[in-house]
Order: sequence, then structure tokens, then C-alpha cells
Amino acid sequence: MDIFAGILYGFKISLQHLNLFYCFIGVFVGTLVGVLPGIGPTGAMAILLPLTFGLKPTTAIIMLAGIYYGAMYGGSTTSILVNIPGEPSSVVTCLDGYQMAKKGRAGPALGISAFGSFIGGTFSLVVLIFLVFPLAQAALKFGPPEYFSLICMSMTLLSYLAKGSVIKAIVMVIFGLMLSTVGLDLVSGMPRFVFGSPSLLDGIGFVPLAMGLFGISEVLMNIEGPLERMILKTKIKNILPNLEDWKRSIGPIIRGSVIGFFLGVLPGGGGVISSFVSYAAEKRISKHPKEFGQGAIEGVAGPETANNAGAGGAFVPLLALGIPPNVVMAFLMGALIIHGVAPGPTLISQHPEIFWGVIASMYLGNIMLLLLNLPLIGLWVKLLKIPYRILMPLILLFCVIGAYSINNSVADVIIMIICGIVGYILRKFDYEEAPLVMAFILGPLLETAFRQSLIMSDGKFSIFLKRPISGVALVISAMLLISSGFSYYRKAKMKVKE
Amino acid sequence: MKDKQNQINFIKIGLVSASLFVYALVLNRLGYLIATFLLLTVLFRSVGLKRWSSLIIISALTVLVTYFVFTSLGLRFPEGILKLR
Repeated sequence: MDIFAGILYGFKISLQHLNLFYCFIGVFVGTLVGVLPGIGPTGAMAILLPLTFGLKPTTAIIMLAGIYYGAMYGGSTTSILVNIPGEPSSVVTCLDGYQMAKKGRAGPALGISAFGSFIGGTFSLVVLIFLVFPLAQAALKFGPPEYFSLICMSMTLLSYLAKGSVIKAIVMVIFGLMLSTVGLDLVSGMPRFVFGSPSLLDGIGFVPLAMGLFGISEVLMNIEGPLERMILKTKIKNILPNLEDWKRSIGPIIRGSVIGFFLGVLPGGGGVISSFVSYAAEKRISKHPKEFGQGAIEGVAGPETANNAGAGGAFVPLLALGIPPNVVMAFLMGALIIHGVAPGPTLISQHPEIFWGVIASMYLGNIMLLLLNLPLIGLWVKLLKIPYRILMPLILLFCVIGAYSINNSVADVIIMIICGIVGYILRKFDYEEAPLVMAFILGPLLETAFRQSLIMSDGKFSIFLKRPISGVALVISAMLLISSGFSYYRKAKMKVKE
Repeated sequence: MKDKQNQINFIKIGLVSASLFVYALVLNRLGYLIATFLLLTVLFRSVGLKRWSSLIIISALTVLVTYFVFTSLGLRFPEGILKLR
């Protein structure tokens, strides 16, 4: 199927009533969780995952993806009006967005972030199509050794690009890998690490784990925070940015689209890093860098575009290789696996309806979001005023119902609660949960690829280095680890000298 | 001051996690309606809702609404000792 026919086919699928409806639900819920305190897009996706079990895989992915990019729109609203990022990738938007709102320019800030998001999102979808095809073609020739090394590389990059300490991220990756080995052995069928508990025989469920780590522990974290939020009392007017605003923003929007997309493709990338890099780039090349932090519209336009472009870019490795680059993509992959669809280079040929349908639905979703966010901004601002204490018990209740509904069993609820408490403790000590969940979902793939490769080579480990692609990937991962070790060593040495 | 705040937070989080645990353990025996009602009263209380009358009304409403919405979506909750139908 060539690209043009594919796009038409995709629109035919995504315009079906049911898909259109769930696309709307997705972007609506996404904007909602972006705006509401106490729950982020990952938490919302985890909670809604069980509800998608009854849907067709295409519809399920359309809705889940909608939550992801919808939250990017909603998150900027809280950044600008409350100075609290609704989700991690709009952290930078607070810097200039809130200042703009303080100066009575909340309207243009909200407007430009919605338009920027729209342009970035659309741009990334176009590039995505042209990049996924050749990559998937190349990936069709990959065997288990290549997969093993690519997954190794992506996990190393993930830890290397982690927000905090690299060592802590690596610890989390290993913890995730360990958790993924619980249950029946993939090859021989022997039970491993089940400690005689029948409910662990099937392994730890992805959904209760994710719900606990992202839903429950987020609520527990938020119990500590202030219960009320200060909302800037300002009139929102002139939502449509004027010519001057556009002139200043068009550069950042174009650069943000490109930066965002390519950083989104990298493992561990996605919206967060894209928005930070875009902000730094704009500040550096700006003619008036002093205005940054004082309400420069470039500081809103660039990052807001970049995080949506990054959201699109993140789909490339998932759709072409079947290796998710960040947690949200790991969720989408989890949803695909639950529906019995194997993500990977064969996805496009075996399930064209998923590939094209989801991509086309993202075009439609972006348009819906523009309509939802610009004329209806007043509604979302009203939602900002919902007191958090009403929400917290409800979020917990939805987590419990969601976990229970997977198998109608209390065991999943208990696993979720344990994961929630563990996640809370990890957050307290600045360990990120994202690498853990990523490793947990990549673990079985890694193990299968590893064991298949060794069966291929009669147990010789040299197979990983003899094959060129696999060898290069392993060398890159080794270099990343050594370089981060070096910088750690230098820092430690500096500390000793002081 | 900060120590005291930490202590309060610690108690709150302990209370919330403990109540979730107990909830999971008694869910099958008590049934969704009663167990969830009790859980919600504790949760709403711990986030600062003080009046008992509003606590009971809000929790009861939430339990009933979620029960009927989710059963109509095809979910089956443990019935326990209280049977609605």
C-alpha cells in the first residue's frame, strides 16, 4: 500500500462512528487530566486500560493515544494559569507562560500554545509516516541478536537520558527486569519466583503494576501537597495571538517541531526533554534573551510545540521496531499485546488498520483539540477550581475498580496497592518509575531475544558482536555507560577536592 | 513546624494505604457496596472533609453511582452480604 492510499484508508477507518467517538473521549479525557490536579496522562492511561479490553485494538489505541497528546494541550493551561504543570512536559511552560498571564496576556499565551501544539503535532505525523516505512523495512531483516542489542541500547539510553541520577535509573531498570521474570519461564514453562502463590504464576500484571506506580503513588504524593491551588484571577481575552505575537513565535514553532520530533524518537525522550531543549535553544538564539522568564512568548511557543512534536516522534520506534521509547508508548504496547497484536516491523503489513487508523485519528484528534481548547477554554478554567480533596478518593476508587475488573480478582487489587506504596517510597527517594515500567515491559522481549540468539549460536556469546548492527548497538551502549561513569567519577573527584 | 507537617503527612499516607489494604482484604466478604462505602468515608475524611453528615451522603452517593454505572457497563462486583437485586 503506498502512502497516499494508506492515508485515505486510515481516514476511512478513523472516521467510523465508534472510532471517532473514542478519539473524542480520548482527547477529552486527556485535556481533563492535563488540567485536573493529582493525575497525569500516564495515570489516566493506566486506569482506563482495563476499560479498553472490550474494544477492538484499533479503537483502544486511538483512545489511549488521544489521552497522551490531549494531556499535552491541557497541561499547558495549568502551567500558564496556575504555575503548576499539569503534566511533566509542560514544566518549562510555567517559566514564561505564567509570567505572561500575570501581565494580563494569558489569552495569547494559551492561544499560541494551542496553535503551536497543533502545528507541532501535525508536522510530526507527516514526518512519522515517511520515517516509519524505511525503518520498518530495514527492521524486517533483524533477527533475535539485533533485537537483543537494540533493546539493550534503548534501555541504556533511557537511563543515560534520565532526569535525575543515572545510577538510580539503572537500578530501576534492573528492578523492572527482575519483576518481569516472575511467573512461568518463557521457554521451559517452569515457574520462577512465584513463592508458591498461584496468583503469581501468570506473572505480575502490567496493568496493576502501572496503575499502582502511576495512579496510586501519584495520589499519595499529592496528599502531601497543598490542598488548594491559587488560580490567577485574570480575564482571558484575545485568545487569538496578534500579528506581532505570530511574528515572534513562528521561528520557535518551526524549530520546536523539528527538535521535538527527533528527540521524541530517542529512547527516554518524548515530550519532556523536547520541551527543555527547545526552551534552551530559543533562549540562546533570541535577540533579547533577558525577556525569557519575564513572559517571552517564544518561551511558550517553542516548548509547547516541541512537546507535541515529540509525542508524535515517539511513535516511530514503537510502530517500526516494536520497541517503545518512553512509558506512554510502553502503555500503548502493553495494550497491543493484551489485544494479541504483536508490535514490530510486521505491524504495518499485518494490521494496516491499526497503523493507518491510529495515525489518521491523530490528525483528527489534533483538530478536535484545537476546537476543544480555544473556544472552550473558559470551561477548563472552571475545572481548575475543583478542590483536590474531592478528586483524590475518586481517583483511588477508579484505580481499585479498574484493577479488580481485569480478572474479577482481589489479587490484582492487592498487587496494585503494593506497587502504589512501593512507588510512593521510590518517588520519595528520587527514583523514577518510568525506567522500571519500561524495563518491565521490555524484559520478556529482551529475554526471548537473548535465549533465541543463544540457541541460534549454540550458546556462543560472540553472536551478539559478530553481527554488524547488533555489534554497533552494543558498542554504543557500552560507550554510553562508560561516559556516564566517567562524568560520575569526575564529579566525585571534584567533591573530594572541595 | 516542618517536622510536625511531616508527621501529619506520614499518618495520612499510612492511613490511606492501610485502608486500601484492608479494603482489598474484606472486599469479597463484605461486598462492593459496604466495603467501598466504608473506604470512601475514611478517604474523604483523611483529605479534610469534616462534617459527618456530608461525609456519609457523598460516600453513599459515590458508591451507588459507580455501582450502577459500572454494572451497566458489564462489570461484576462482589455481592457480599448486601444484595441489591
